Amino acid sequence: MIKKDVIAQVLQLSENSDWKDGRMDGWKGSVPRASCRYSIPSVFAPYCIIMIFIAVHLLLTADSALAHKMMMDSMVNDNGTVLLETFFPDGTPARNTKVEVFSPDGSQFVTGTTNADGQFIFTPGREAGVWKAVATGKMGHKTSTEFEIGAGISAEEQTEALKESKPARKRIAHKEPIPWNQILSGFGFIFGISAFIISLKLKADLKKLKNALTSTRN
Amino acid sequence: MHISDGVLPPAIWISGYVVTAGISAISLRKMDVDDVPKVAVVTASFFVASLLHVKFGPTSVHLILNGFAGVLLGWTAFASILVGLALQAFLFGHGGITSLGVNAIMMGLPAIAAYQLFRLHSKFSFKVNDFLFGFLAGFFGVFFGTIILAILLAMSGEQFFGVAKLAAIAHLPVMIIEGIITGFVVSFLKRVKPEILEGSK
Repeated sequence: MIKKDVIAQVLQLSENSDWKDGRMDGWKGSVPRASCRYSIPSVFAPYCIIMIFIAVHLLLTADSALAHKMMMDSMVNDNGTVLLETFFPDGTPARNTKVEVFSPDGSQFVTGTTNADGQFIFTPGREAGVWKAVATGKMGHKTSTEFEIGAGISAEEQTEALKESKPARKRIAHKEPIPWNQILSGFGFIFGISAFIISLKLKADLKKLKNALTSTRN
Repeated sequence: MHISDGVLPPAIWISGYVVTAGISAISLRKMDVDDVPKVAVVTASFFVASLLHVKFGPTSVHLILNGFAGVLLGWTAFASILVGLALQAFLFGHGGITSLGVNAIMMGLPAIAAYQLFRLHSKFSFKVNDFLFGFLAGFFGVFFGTIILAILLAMSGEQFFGVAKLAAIAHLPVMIIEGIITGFVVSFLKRVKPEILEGSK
């Protein structure tokens, strides 16, 4: 890793330099350009911190950040039934997925599996409140969703109330767009981490070099 | 092929973290400074691969590239895959935070196994081309992953053979595609820059 000409330069410099954190005082322009790589870690440290901030920001703002690989959507139909749809981020329906529905008091209301279109339809009871549905795929996927059912009113009124209370509620687009921001921040992380590892390993290298120098001196 | 949060009981995912920590330590020790840029590039491709969906077969599956990472990186592939999976969990929502350890085992151990399989080629100098061994490494990287998935889910009460059959059939297209990718990359690198394949310890 460390070349011979660099060692020669370091030997000269080590006469009057202070070795601390892999830094050398008295670093002069005469040192070969190749050895500049020792200063790269100090450039990458603030870069890593910036990347961490960006990623934390993304985590807190992105809606789909904590969505699972399999997703579920719920729709209260006009006739009072509820349609649950399970699907994957590319829009493929998740077939034969086990669905469990829990009423607002937390007890299990109905269980079943989705059909070939990834749909599961059931008629909820009259209990008002927030219902919860949990879908468990066969290959380790798991997701859940919640939906609200109004109290003691007819199905039409119920859907009307739903429309009024949440006019902006849209069906989730079943095909997710490519998450460019996440991809870029992931790349930033990977290269930040590798720069960090390089800096750690080079520090260890420099320490070894220092020990070798002091032992040859004495 | 990621296990989500809440599928496995705590005893399994906590022990998954412990095992992952151990193998990652070995993996990081084997990493040479000169290898780091290569590791970073392979990690980046592993990280993005899970967005590439393959639309054959009964369910939606995506590329994994763990056999590919194993062939190029050797033991270091485990640390690379752990970082890739952590970023997938945090940024894409694939898999889960608690299940990160078991996911790393599920993808990382097959990567190391694929690497050992690939090394048989130079060890015994079989009279076949590099493409075949690259293909086998890419293919079995995913296949071993499905077996480990079935073992893990069997521990949480599923039927082993049911899950194994389902996962293996669903991932068959992915296995073939990754086998072809790894085979081409290996035979290309053997001709252009063979030291990349020999450098991994």
